[in-house]
Amino acid sequence: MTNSALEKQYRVNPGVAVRHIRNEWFFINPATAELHNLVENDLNVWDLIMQGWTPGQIIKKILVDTDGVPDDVTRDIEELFDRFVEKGILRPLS
Amino acid sequence: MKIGPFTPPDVREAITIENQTVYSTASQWVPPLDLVIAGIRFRFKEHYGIHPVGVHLRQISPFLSSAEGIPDFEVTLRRHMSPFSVQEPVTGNMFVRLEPDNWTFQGTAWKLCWHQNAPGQLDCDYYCSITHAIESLRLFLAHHLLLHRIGLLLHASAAIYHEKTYVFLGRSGAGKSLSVFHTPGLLLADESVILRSNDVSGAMICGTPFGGEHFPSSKPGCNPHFLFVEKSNHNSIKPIPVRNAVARLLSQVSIAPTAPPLFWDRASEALERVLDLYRVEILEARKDGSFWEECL
Repeated sequence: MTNSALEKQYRVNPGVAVRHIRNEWFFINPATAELHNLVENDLNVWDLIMQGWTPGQIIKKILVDTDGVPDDVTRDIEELFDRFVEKGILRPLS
Repeated sequence: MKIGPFTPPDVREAITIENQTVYSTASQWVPPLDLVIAGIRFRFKEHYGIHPVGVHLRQISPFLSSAEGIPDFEVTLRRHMSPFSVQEPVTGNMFVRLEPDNWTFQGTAWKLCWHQNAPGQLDCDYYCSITHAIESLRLFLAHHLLLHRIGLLLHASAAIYHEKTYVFLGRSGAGKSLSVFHTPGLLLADESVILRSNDVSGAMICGTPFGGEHFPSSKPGCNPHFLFVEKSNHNSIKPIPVRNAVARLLSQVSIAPTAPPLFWDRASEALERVLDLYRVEILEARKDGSFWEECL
């Protein structure tokens, strides 16, 4: 993920149904006939994404709130966004 | 009614004879027919066709009702003597289009249309047997229930036993029909059941006249317990992780793959309620039906 991508905002693909069930987020993408999930943790990353936080902002918040290793946190968040974009769940706001 | 391993020989023979007869019999005047499925009343208007008899009549008879009150849907029927070709089949040789103001469902033996400007009317063209017209209601009902947040149509079997309703789910061949075949209770259906939301008494499980090898019942069942059937050499009930439960329940919901996201959202909303309120587990079952006594 490039620096400019880290500062992009993302929104949920309107073609995806999102549902919170027992501490997990579920994403149904009828176009690809796929179901994805995201286990909720104390950081509520999905809530931050929904509030328009960029990947870079989320990484900074996690590093402030936790004792995570910067490279690991950055990699995890980048992978999360990359995966959700690849699966058609998130779209970058132009 | 389909012929399968559980179809008794006399019923099997009757179905074969009736199918041969219905395809070669000229249309006659058929009086109005009211069917109540999961509390939703369909009035098949009088038309020239074939009145259901024998096994077909026995299959739908629990859902037949006297023509009283205002139906939820009046169905205009037209009988055709040749099957339909399905253009742009989406899945299972079926075409489904769900626009905000009109819905179309078409298979090789039926075509059903709904328009928002006449919300209580359905137009149904069917091939020869009125059972095809009844079958055409399956997908319409599935999407109607979802859109209005009043339920779900599940590919499942169900039976009432000891004031509980056991709903058996699983892929084809998993043992759904076998499970209810052995029930010491009341069999509701072995192919499609409706989970009907009810604000007062919680969810009800209702049998349907759609498909199956056993004769269904229209009696609603309460206190549902959802079980994913897996063949085994022992009987036991196991918990299921929530992710697997959502994925497996969703795979058994009747919904067109091309349905707009709103319908998928409604389906996931209903599944959220199911997982919040009811037991959803795995049933490892011997095929002799002994799990009824050992586990339930």
